[in-house]
Amino acid sequence: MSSESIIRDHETFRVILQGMSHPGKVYPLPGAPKTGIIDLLGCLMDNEVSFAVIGDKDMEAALARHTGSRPAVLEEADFVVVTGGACGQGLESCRRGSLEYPDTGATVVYLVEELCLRDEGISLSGPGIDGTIALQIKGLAPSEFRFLQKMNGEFPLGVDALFLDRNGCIACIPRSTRIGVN
Amino acid sequence: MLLHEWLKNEAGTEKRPGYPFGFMDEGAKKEIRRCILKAVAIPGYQVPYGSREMPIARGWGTGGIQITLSLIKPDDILKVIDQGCDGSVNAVNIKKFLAEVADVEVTNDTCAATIIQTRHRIPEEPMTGRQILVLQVPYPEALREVEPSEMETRRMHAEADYSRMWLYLYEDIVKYGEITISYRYPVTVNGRYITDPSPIPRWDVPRLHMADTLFLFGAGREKRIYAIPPHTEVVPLEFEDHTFRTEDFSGKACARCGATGTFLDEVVDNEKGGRSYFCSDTGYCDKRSTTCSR
Amino acid sequence: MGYVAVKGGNEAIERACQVFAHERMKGDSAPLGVDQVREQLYLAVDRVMGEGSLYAPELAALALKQSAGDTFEASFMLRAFRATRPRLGYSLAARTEKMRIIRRISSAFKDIPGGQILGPTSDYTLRLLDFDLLEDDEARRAAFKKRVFSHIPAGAEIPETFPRVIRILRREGLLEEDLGAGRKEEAVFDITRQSLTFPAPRSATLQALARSETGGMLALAYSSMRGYGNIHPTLGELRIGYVPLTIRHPETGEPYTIGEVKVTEAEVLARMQGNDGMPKFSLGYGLCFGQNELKAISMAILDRCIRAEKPSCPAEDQEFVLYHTDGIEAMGFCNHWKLPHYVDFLSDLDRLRKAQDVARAGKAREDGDAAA
Repeated sequence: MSSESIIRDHETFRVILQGMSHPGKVYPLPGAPKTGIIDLLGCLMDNEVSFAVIGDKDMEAALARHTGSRPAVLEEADFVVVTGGACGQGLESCRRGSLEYPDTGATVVYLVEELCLRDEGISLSGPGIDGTIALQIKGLAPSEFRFLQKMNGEFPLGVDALFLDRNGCIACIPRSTRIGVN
Repeated sequence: MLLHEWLKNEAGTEKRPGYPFGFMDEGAKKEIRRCILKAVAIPGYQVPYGSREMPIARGWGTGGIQITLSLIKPDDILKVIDQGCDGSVNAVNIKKFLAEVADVEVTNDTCAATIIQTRHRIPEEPMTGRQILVLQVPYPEALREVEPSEMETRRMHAEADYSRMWLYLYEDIVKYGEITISYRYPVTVNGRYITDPSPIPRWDVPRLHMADTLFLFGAGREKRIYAIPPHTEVVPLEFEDHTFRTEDFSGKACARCGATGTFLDEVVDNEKGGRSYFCSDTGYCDKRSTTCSR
Repeated sequence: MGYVAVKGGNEAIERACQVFAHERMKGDSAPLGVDQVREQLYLAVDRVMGEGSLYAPELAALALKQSAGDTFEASFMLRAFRATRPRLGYSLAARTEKMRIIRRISSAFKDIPGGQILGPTSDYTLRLLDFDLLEDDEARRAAFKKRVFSHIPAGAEIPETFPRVIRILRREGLLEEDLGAGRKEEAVFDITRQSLTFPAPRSATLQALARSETGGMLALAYSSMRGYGNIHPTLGELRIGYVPLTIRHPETGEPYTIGEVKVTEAEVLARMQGNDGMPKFSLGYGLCFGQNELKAISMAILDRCIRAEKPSCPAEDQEFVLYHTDGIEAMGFCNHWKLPHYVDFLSDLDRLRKAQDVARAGKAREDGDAAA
């Protein structure tokens, strides 16, 4: 790996970390707007984790090739990539972890149209959020929030969601976040 | 032989051949990054990881170093302290290693730093949402005091079965009239996990509550990572009639800068037999001394 | 103000490192050759390779020289070096039946197929200091070698392979099922890459023990031998020799031998077990780099101990054994007590003073009540 790509991974991870510790806030990834899913996940995934892609076989091959990660069924995947704005009922098959090891719950990455902070957006509160924050996610089915709420209804079990939009920006909703509906 | 000399000799005359940016291999960093994200998503919960060996000994900060190396960027400004002091031998050693393998600028100024790695203290000056504090942890398990087995403490956390910890505190009060735990004072994070804040003094525990900054905890030897995100509830364990209290410095001030609201080191003055007090946070003390002297 | 002064900490560390290096150079003796350490202190080299978890005799010898003989420090250096090496691949499972034997004994039987081969061992030496070694020149060595090799019976041959003693027992249904065949693990656990959680799979416990510190393991195994626990071990077989390492050729996929490593292997037979109604002997297995018999035997005993159904003592407690026998972790933590702890201590002082205040107030009240 070249020095530049290693450093790029460090920079990408910093943005993801900032996003996960300040849920709801929108942050541009390095290289935005051209940053894609491979750049995002390249700093996290390798041959020790598994993944599943909903709705895009080519992306599955590309991710496997670039990261060395193993494609797996939804029920076993560490990382789940959702193209097409909704996982729906399928989300319930994702791993929520166990009480002894809640960290084994999956990370779900949604590819969406646009992320922005707007009053009309979904209201979020909890660790990392000062009071409440309203996040609007264009390109995500509104029903998806209900599925997330259900998945994350028994803390510490749950999944942690990451959103990547077409502008190369991300926002995060970890399982610790309370998702309210406006 | 110094660390960076050892690195140079091992690798030949180039600065860092054979060692990528950040010293560890990418697989190691990726695992740590995944664990950090889960730790942030589950505040106060200890995520197990396959801690790598570092050229610095276990027990001397390898957990903190691995976290720092997984997230540091060349444009970061790094501060490293031990017991609050930038010049402490261990802090200096770690700083040299990190600056060498990550090519970053270092500082003693809390406000100028973007990443602060610390052993046993939180800096006096409040940190912002753009900074990260990485704490070195010898004992990640708050319940170890009452239960030596890892399997059992994991079960206790899983079921939020903390009765034995409360009993331990109660017995302290019965015996001594006080909760005698000094550093490593157990806290409840986000209303769920009892967490060990690392051997910071009680003085620093309130700083964890609803802070602006992210706290990352790394235990290299014990192989655990945990986190307290910003704006998170962190409540020390206490009873209604025996509430949590910090150390008492009333009537004392720093002999160097005059501060009365900081954690003070007690130094026995051998010649006179008296005691002097100095700010443990030397960077802060330096700042105050410089402004005071103008 | 001592060594924690804001200025001067740097210089103090540099000087300390220099003084440390100088300690082994200040005498008149000729500089120690790494080849001398490797050849003439080969058992120390073997121990360091085992605890450093890296088969690299030259580097282990260098580490021993650099650390002035401190095996903990030397093993640590080797581990740290190992952590920076890229993982190129994995060998196929090595078969110790293919070992090029230099020593092989069994205590379970008086004689075994292939014979008892004592090999290079200090077991039967009288532990009397040999003052002749104070004058150890080339002529003396040459004379010794001549004497040793002058009476070898012509045509003495060693068999190509040595059947395992335990195979004999297994064939007769006297030994518990082959643990490798029965419960097959999906993939070999890698303790350097995955975090160890309990109960740990067997590949993880064996890996951890293989790199554990000899003294720590010996202490725990000794406790078991003396009676803490119920193992009553017999040494089924001890083998030392060179085992070939084979990988899949990266292009053809064919098995390809890349070299050999010297290992010590111990198989210990223990008291009965047997879950299918038929009592059998149980087996403990030990394997480590180089020639380190104490470690291999201790490892085999501990392997068996930590599989006890109901742990009744520390040596049978999987967590206790695995957490406390890693030399690098133990040494790092023991040494860390030398780091400044004055803030922690001050916090403790505060608590103690407060507790004393409370105690005094309580006593004053009592005295007051008594006087009234």
